[in-house]
Amino acid sequence: MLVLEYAISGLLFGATYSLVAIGFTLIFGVLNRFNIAHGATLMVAAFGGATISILFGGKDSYIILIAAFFSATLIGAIVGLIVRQIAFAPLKGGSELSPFVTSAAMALILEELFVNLTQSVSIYSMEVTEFPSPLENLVFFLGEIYIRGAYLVIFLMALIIMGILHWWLHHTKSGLAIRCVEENPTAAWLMGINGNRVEIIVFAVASAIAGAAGCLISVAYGTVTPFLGSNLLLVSFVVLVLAGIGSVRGAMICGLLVGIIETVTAGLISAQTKEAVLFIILFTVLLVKPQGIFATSATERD
Amino acid sequence: MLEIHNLSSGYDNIPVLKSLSLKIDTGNLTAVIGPNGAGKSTLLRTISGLLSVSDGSIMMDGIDITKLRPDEIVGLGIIHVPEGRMILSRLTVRENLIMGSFQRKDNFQINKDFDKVLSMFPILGDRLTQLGGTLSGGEQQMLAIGRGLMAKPKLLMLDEPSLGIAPIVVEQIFNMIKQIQNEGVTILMVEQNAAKALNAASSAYVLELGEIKASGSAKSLLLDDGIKKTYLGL
Repeated sequence: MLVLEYAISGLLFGATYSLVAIGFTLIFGVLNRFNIAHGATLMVAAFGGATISILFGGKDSYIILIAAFFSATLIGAIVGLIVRQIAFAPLKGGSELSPFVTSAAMALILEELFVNLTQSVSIYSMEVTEFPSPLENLVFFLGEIYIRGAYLVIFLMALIIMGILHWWLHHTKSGLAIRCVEENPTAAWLMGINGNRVEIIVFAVASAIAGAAGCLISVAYGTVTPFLGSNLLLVSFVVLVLAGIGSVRGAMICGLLVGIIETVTAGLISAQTKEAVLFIILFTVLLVKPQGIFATSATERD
Repeated sequence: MLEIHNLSSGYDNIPVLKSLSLKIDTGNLTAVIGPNGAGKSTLLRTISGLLSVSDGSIMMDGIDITKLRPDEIVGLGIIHVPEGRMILSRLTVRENLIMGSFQRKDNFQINKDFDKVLSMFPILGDRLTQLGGTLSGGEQQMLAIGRGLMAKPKLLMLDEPSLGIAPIVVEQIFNMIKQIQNEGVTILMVEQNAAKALNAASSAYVLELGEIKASGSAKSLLLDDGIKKTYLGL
C-alpha cells in the first residue's frame, strides 16, 4: 500500500519533470543546441511567482496563486527570449558547442544574481525562500491512500499544458511550422517559413512552459532556492536521455517514469539513494538502447 | 515574369554560375537542360534565395529579389520544389500539403486548392493520414508538387521531377505539369531527361559548366544537331 502511495505521488510530481524536459527538447529540436540556461530560466520564473505570493498574501488566496502562476509563465517566456538574444542569436552558424558555453554562463550569472538577491532583499530568505500557497495543507484520501492536493493540482495543470502543446504542434500552422523546421530547415524555408521567427517562438514557448513548471514545482515544495534550476536540469537531462533526445511524447512519459522511480526509491530506501538509482537505470538504458526508449527510426520520430 | 541578368553565384566562394542571363515569360513552361554538375540546381537555389548572389540581378515582375530571403521570395509567388523532393517525413501527407499554404490567409481558397490537388493526384487522397516518409518516390514527387501548388505559385520551379521515378509515373507527372501550366502557372523546370523536358517545354536553355550554351524555343532545340547528339542520343 505504501509503495502505491509513493508511486502515485511520484507520478503526479513527475509531470513537472515532463514539462521541464519538453521545453528542453523543443529547443534542441529546432536549434540542434542545448539550452543550459533552461533550468535557470525556470528558477527565475519560480522566484517571480514566489515574490507575488509573498507580497500579496498568497497563503490563503487562490486568486493570488493563479496570478503567481501566470506571472511565472510570462517571466519564463521573457527570460527565455533574453537568453536567446544573448547566448544564442549572436552565435548563429557557429560551432554547436559555443551556445552550450554561453548558455551555461547565463545560468551561472542568473544563479549568482539570485544568491545575492536572496541575501540582500528582505522578503527572500538566505537559504530557502518560502512560496506560500493555499495548497499547502490540502489533502485528499483515495481509500487508504494519502494524496497531497498540491501534487494533484500540478499534475492536472501539467496535463493541460501538455495537451495544449500537443494540439498546437499538430493542428495549427504555427505549431506545425516548428515541426517542419525541426525536421528540415531548408524545406521549411522553401515553404515560406521564417526559421528565425520559429526560433523565437520556440524559445518563448519552451521557456514559458519552464516558468509554469518552476512555479508548480516550488508550490509543491513550498519553497524556492537559487539552485532549483540546476537540480531540475540534471533530472530533465536524465528524462531526455531515457526518452531519446527530440521526442516530445517520450519526454512526457519518461518524466512521469522518473518521478515514480525517484519517489518510490526515496520512500522505500532513502532520499540520498534516489539519484543513484536513477543513474543506474540511466546507464542500463544507455547500455541496452543507447538511442533512448522512445527513439525509433527517423520517419517515426514525433 | 522572371528576368535574370548576368547572374553569378555558387557555394563558399566556389563559383558555379558565371554571368548567366535568362528570361522566363508569363504562362510559359521553360526548361533548363544540361549534364550533371552544370549548375541547374544551383540556378534554382539561387533564384529561391537559398544561395546568395555574388553578382548580377534577379527581377520578378519588376521587383528586385536578388537580396531577399527564401521566405520573402515565397511570399512573391516563386515556389521551389527542390531536388530530392524534401518531403517532411515525420509529418502526415495532409500536414505536408497544408504547410505548403503556410503564408496564405485565405482559408476558403486554401480548402478549394487542397481538394484540387487531391483531384490531380488521387493517390495522395488515399494517403492523407500516412507519414510523408512512408510514400514511394513517385508519390513523394506528387506530394512535393502538390505542396508547391498549395502555395498558389505564380512561378513554380521544379528540380528534376523525373529523378528516381518509374517511367510510367514520370509520364503521369509530366502530364500533370502540362496541366498545371494550362491553368496559368508559369513553370521553370530543370531536367536531365532532355527529351522529356524539351517535348513538354515551350522554350528552353542549355546549361553547361555554369554558362548558357544554347537557348530558343524547345522545338528548335529538339531539331538542333548538336543537341540531338549530346543530349538526346540520336
